[in-house]
Amino acid sequence: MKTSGRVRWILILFVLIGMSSATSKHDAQASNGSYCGGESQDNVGLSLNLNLTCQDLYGGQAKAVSTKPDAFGWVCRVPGQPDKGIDMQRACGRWYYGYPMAALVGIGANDWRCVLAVNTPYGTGVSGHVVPILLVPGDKVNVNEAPSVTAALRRIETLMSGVRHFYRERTSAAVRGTNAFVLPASTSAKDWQTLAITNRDGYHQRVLQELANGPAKANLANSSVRGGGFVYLGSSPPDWVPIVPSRRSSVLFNTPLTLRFFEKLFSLPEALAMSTTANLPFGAPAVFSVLPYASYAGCSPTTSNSAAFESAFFDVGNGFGTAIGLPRSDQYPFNDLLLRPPNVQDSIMYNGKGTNSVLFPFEVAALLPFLTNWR
Amino acid sequence: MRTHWWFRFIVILLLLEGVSLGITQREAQAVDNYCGEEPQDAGGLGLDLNEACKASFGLSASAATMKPDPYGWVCKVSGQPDKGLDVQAACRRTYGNSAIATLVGIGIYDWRCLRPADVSGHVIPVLLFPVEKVKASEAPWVTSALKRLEALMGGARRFYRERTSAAVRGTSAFVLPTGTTAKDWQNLAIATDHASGGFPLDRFGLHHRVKQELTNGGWSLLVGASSVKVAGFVTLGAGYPEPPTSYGAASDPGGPYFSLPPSASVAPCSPSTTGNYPEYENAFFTVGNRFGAALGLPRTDQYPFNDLLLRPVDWQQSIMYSGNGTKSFLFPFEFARLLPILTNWR
Repeated sequence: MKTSGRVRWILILFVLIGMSSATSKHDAQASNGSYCGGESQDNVGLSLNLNLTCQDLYGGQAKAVSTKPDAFGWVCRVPGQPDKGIDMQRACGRWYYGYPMAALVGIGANDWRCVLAVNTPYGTGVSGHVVPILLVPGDKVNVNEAPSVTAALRRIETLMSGVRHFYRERTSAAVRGTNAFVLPASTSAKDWQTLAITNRDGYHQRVLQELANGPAKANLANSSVRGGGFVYLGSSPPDWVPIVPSRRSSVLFNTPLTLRFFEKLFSLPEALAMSTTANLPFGAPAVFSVLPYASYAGCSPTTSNSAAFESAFFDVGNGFGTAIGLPRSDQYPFNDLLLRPPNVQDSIMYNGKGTNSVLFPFEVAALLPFLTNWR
Repeated sequence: MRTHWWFRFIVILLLLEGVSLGITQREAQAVDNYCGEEPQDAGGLGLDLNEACKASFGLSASAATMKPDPYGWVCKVSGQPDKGLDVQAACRRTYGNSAIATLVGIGIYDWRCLRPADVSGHVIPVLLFPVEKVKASEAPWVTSALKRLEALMGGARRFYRERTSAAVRGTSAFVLPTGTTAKDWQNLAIATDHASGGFPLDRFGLHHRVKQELTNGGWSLLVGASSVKVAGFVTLGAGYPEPPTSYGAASDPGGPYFSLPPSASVAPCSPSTTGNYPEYENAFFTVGNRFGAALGLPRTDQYPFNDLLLRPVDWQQSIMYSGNGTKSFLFPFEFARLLPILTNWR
């Protein structure tokens, strides 16, 4: 009996020692909430007075009325006349200059804003910024989804902020970003999922297509903005969502395709001019897309990052890196003077290691001229 | 008795855990001393002095040493007075017109030849050693000093290599006996900060003298025909009555020469896990800073900081400003500036 007590005591000791060792090791590898945000954002988006817009269009008696509790319920109502739709893009153009475009900061009725491409006395433009854009399937634009969309917007802002923080820390250069916007998409949640799983190139093309179909993107031709396309599948995404994709597969770029996108969007000469004036060393695309899981990858500054967040961090960091001109890490001209690091795979521009990814000096050197001229 | 066994077992277990934790903590705190540990090239080419004598004075000539230092060599031809041996000419004859003779110590067998092609794209530490000290008794001290220079320069090269991913190549250290005496080196160095020993205040007086000595020693020939960087480490030799001063570091921005103060050549490092002596930390910063300047890096506060290029809060700790010994920084905008230079430095 006495021996049994000692055995128990020793077992407890073993467990305690084991826990102590485990804790020490865990501490050494801790990434508690690392890069869970960390960089401030420029909140862009100017208010849009819809009553004034209606009066401007249809006379002093006109007023704006919301016919349903989402962003697409607005009409101009004039007594004795049928309701008239409001072209939000035209409305922004009536009140602001600086190449304004209408954009949503949620899917509620009062979430319309005007976003400027360039800085004006009205406010900061998106030029020289990366803008996270949440593509919300049209079938999900309803009031029940609004809280979930808002939460997704905050998550992608945090994710993008963490990535900007990563690049800023490693380059000493400002990496500016804005708050996130919603772009209602014609692609359904189910189609997004199918594309994500079966055809990633097609998925990327669809993101570009949805952005091209969006309102007033032509105005962005006058900016050097970079866009991150995140896809939302609804408040209860199907459980067959590939939460953590395989490495290097979720961010897709295709320069000719991107040029087609710009050709459609801005007209090709302008797109090329933008690349030229932005001084991009590698003909970088202006938009990157990330698989749907990234929109659901949350983090907390006080707890260890989830595998999904770590993966999403890499995907966004890698996609953003490409969008600002970085080639893949193994594409540098390594030789006897420029040494290939033994851990080159750990670069954010290769396989990465989540928030512990590396940005090598030759990558910083390639990036710095762009960042310090990105306005 | 049984209780005793359990007790001993537990004590051993606790001790093992303690040792394990101790090792972990020590590993976590391991100090990188930047004490060399970077490979170096080009130790110099051999020089056949007998052959040199024969080439100058005929097949019957042979080399002989008259005293136990590098300057004791003569050519002997039977029936004739001893003839001086021109080692510079011997190197040129053997290895081409741009080769120079140099020393890897102050012993009689320490002459070597260097060709531009062997050292281009490298930094060479050169110990400027007062000629009045060139004697056999000083040889061990010189050998130690050369090892210190190699460790220091190797550490600085590793610092830059680790931060840039670029090779930063260097050679072993060489000795250049100087006409400038130990006392004059010390005074010239002090005079870079204030007037000293008959030398007026001259910020670059030491550097100019270093370059003059290197030119006299034939190094300008090597410099003119290659992209070598020459680090001139002034030394006072063993037993100098005052502590060697740490004043005097200078360089030509982006140029081939940089000069180090007398204190740098006597600063030893230790490849142990404990920290360096302050003398080594200071010498490391000085060498890293002057080497950086010779490579073309400006002072850290001279970058065009603005809303896009952000001035780091701890910018003073850059190797190109005040530094922090072996823990100095090289900021991204600095290594971005340096990388194209290093990757084209051949």
